[in-house]
Amino acid sequence: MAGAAAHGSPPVPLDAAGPAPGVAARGGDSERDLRLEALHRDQYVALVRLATLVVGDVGLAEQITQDAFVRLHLRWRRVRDLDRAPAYLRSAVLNGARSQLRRRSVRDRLDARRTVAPAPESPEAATLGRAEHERVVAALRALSSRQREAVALRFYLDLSEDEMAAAMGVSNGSVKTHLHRGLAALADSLREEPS
Amino acid sequence: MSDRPDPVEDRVRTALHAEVDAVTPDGGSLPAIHRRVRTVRRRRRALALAGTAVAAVAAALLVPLGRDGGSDVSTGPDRATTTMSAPAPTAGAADAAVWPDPTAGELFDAPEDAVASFAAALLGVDDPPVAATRRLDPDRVEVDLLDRTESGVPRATVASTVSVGRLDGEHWFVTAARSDDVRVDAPTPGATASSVLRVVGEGRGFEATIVAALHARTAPAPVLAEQATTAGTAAPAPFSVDLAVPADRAGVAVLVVRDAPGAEASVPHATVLPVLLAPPASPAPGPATPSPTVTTGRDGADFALGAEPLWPFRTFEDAEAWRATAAEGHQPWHLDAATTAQMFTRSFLGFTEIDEVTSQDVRADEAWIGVGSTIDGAATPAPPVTAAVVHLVRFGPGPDSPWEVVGTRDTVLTLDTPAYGAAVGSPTTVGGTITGVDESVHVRVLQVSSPTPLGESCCTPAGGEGTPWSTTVSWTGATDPALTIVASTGGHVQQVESFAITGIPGPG
Repeated sequence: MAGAAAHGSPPVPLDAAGPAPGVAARGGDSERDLRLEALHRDQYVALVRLATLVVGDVGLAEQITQDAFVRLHLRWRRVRDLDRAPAYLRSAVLNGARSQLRRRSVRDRLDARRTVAPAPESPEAATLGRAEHERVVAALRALSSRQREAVALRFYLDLSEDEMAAAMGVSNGSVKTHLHRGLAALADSLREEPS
Repeated sequence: MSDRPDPVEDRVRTALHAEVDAVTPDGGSLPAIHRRVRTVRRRRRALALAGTAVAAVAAALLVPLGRDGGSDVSTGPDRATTTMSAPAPTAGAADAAVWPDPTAGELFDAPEDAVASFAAALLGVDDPPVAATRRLDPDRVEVDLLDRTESGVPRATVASTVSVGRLDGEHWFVTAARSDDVRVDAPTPGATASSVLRVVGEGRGFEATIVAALHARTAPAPVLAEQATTAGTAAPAPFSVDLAVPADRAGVAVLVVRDAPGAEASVPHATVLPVLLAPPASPAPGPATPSPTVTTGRDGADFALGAEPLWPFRTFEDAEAWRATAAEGHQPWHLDAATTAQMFTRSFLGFTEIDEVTSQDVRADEAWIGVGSTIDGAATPAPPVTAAVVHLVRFGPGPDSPWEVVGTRDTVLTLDTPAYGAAVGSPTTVGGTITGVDESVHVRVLQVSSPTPLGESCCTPAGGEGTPWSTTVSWTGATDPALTIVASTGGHVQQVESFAITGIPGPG
């Protein structure tokens, strides 16, 4: 299992190109670089995995997570409370994931004019029997994107309700609703399948 | 029933970890991120150094979202039907956007994305069934949201039609929604709402109920005010409802008038439009106060402001004319320094992204109001960043005199040349100092009586620690007693992150 330690990339300056000619960089660049590298080391893997749970595609999840880091880098000098950077990244990743899902959803509707639910599992899968986690994840995929986000934030990242609300950009009440409905739907799906 | 805890949570937790704990991202992600950051910064530098060529690009990108444009750029017909009289400016194209907020948050490259986000945020519907997008012209489309049954199956009938426009030439914004079942006659799009917003129209809905709600335009579009009223059921019937405008809100908000949901899966039949909030000063002038009849100075017409009258009044007589009608409740925001500073920034200067008051120092006849904005995309509430501290003075001798903007208190970006109050003509050198990296200074010359800049200069590359910057600006058409020279910079987080102004006497 690969953990965060797998990402021991050598330190790279945040802006290796340096400031524009004739422009003096403001103080604190090296400290800023170190903080960004630490953020990448501590958060990147978990964020990719979170995005994978939401969009179901590792490559897309990496792209979304890198987008979030690029945006943070470009806004770094405006980020005054560094402790909030992880929360910013979580929110940016979920926004990116949501945007990708919407795009995919609209594309599906317009291109394929698909009006039915995603194809059911193949006969051989049922015959062979899927692993427990695959059944749960398949049920997770059937949730709405908001419910899926809530479930992933709570049960994968173990976030508090406040942290979930901040990441999802919704109220605590909405978090409870999405989580409750998501879990209820998961329970229904899992009850219908052989365990 | 069993008292045992539902095992679903444990199963979910275990399954999620089993699913993705083995995911190993590409080890080259950090260098890739750095490369992308460098690419973006190089592009920004190239843009800044492109000089006049960039000015045209910047005008094309910025002006459609701002009130003030270059004289060579059309911002389209004025849509604003406001209750304000001159010198309040008309609303700009940025005010036409219902969703998303052009100045903050996520922007959309596809109209369908904008519609989906709009439906979720303002109609409370995730993934509504939609018909094919109708393209009216390259920059305008319409999307029909379809009805659906209680079980969620789409119907062929249209619930609401959403209008979407490419307002900045790049991103798509919902500009309105309409439904045959909910017609709104008042307010009109872009109308100004003061203390009470009266919503009048005709409609029909489940159990004859129509709901009018005022939402903030920024995500997650919280409800600012909401009222239900009765209309028709089978046939439309007139309705009228009053919404209380929050006293602490200013700027664009979104009015959603919809039928009451008959089922959880229903798609609202809604008419949606933008309105401009301009809450009254607090406390409002007392109605029992005798209405003054003077239209000239109370102590003679020789009141000396002691500074350049930049906005909103051109002269003391203009200020006194307003004061004579203030007791009738006409534009009471003139008595509120913070609102005046905000409107100066957003409406006169056109910096619509700067939408928060960050500090207030209000004294009897002088005030300093910090204006700024919160970091775009911040996940948790972050302290807003101050773009400038606006200096105001009372334009008259008493506490019932309106506030007048006379300058700014500058730090990150200063505008020292020409000196405040210096009698200079066109062209003139404009300069100051700046602290920052990859900055690009945009200078404009404005006057109250002109809706567009008299002159401008863009985009002067600058940066460093208190490093001097300088440019030359020319202008024509000055008629007012005072002119505002404004320098602004941005482009890192939002288009305008810092600004400074100075005042010079005009010919009027």
